Amino acid sequence: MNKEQFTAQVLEAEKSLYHIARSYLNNDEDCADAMQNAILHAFEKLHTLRNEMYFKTWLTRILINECKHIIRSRKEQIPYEDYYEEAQALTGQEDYPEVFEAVMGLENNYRAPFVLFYVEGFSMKEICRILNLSQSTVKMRLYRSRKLLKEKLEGVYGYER
Amino acid sequence: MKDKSWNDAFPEVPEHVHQAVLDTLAGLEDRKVKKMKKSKMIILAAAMVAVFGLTVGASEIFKWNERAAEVFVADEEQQTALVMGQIAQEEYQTISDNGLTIRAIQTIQDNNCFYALFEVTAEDESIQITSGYNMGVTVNHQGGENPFSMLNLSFVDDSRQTVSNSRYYEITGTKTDPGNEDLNISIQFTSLNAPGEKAMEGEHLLEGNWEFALSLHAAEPVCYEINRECQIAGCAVTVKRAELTPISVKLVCDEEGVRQLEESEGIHLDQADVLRALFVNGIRYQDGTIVEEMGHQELWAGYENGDYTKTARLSSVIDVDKVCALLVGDNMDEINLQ
Repeated sequence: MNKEQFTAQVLEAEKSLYHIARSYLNNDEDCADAMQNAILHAFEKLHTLRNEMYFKTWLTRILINECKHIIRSRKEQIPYEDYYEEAQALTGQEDYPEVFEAVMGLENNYRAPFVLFYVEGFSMKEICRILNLSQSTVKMRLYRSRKLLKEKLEGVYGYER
Repeated sequence: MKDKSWNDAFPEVPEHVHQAVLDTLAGLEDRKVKKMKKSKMIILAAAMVAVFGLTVGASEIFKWNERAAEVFVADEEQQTALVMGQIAQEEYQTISDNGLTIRAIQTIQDNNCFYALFEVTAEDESIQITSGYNMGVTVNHQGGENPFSMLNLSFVDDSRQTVSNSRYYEITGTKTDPGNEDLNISIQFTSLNAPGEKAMEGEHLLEGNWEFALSLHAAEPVCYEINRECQIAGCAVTVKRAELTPISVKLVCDEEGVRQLEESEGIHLDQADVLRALFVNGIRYQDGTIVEEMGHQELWAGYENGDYTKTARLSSVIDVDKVCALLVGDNMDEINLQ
């Protein structure tokens, strides 16, 4: 994969990468940092990608590591709990759809599998790879996130199973 | 639920984030390549490879480590059989660096799953390693794609081992696309870390380089071409094939029958629901003995190319040659292999 192909594939995945970063991080500045770092890291390590078919999965995994790195570094500056409380407060202040706020209100463990599966349409196999979780764990988290969202969104967004 | 436009409910990429991405892409080649962090630690001792003496008895050679035997629930006869069948392998590599010794003890793998057991010992006995500790570790594979869809790496639970300066460390993996190829991987430990807050990495107590090269043979499963309709939870399901190894099972069914099962159980596999009716909850040996599974350990399940395939790790080692039927679901419906 050359630089032009790399650039094209990153831009194609950009929206998805933003949504995933947003599911981990509480503001757009952190999302931009994570995406930039992930792109640079991926470009440096491009030679290690053996099959281009898995580019998006691979890049997503790198992005999630960058998001976790940012959370860790923030944790050293502000208490961990405060970071997430701030995240929830921030989503409430901005004019986002109720559905988005409901998803962002999920615990982090549930939020990432939900966004990958329902919002970004990754397959179960890809999610297991990206999050390094077993299929049964991913299923359980999706099941719980569905249940929680159903309670929150009853009557909103024409929600029904 | 998956059909709903969840994507539309999520915000578009803000302009300044998009601009940051464009700037990054534009500057890719100008960027200085990050220098790799050099470890300040000095390697105090090199890898040691021990080879068994010929005077050791066969039963001693083939006996597993007690922790591995506990995880896979294998008696001595089964342990010997799995070593002979190259499913279980003892590892004899010990590396010491910066006051920490790591010993590779045992690996067990088949075409669906992988297990490696290590022992981590700190020279400083004031370091009491609990299950909350973790290791900095990288798993690299040589040749082909990453074979794992999931790797779980952790110290053994405190309820299973007394807390001291030494503790077992386990790696369990699920293979993405079951294959019978041999596996060459290197496992590189880089640090022993104190417990972190909320699953975060804690303080690096000891840093160093402990790298193990593992070459593992994947035993071929015993395959049964069944291609027969079986009554499962009241539905006629065509079971096409079953594959068994002493530690895992794979079942391939025709999609149509499994869709009926979904309907009758009121679940939706496309929504990541779980189909209990096809849980392998036991096996029957030819002499009538039933070995019940203690908790279903599903590795993978899903539709692919008109089939429904599921793989599961078995809770105890089985003698594949003696199995005549799989028992599935809460009703233990029988899938005859003969």
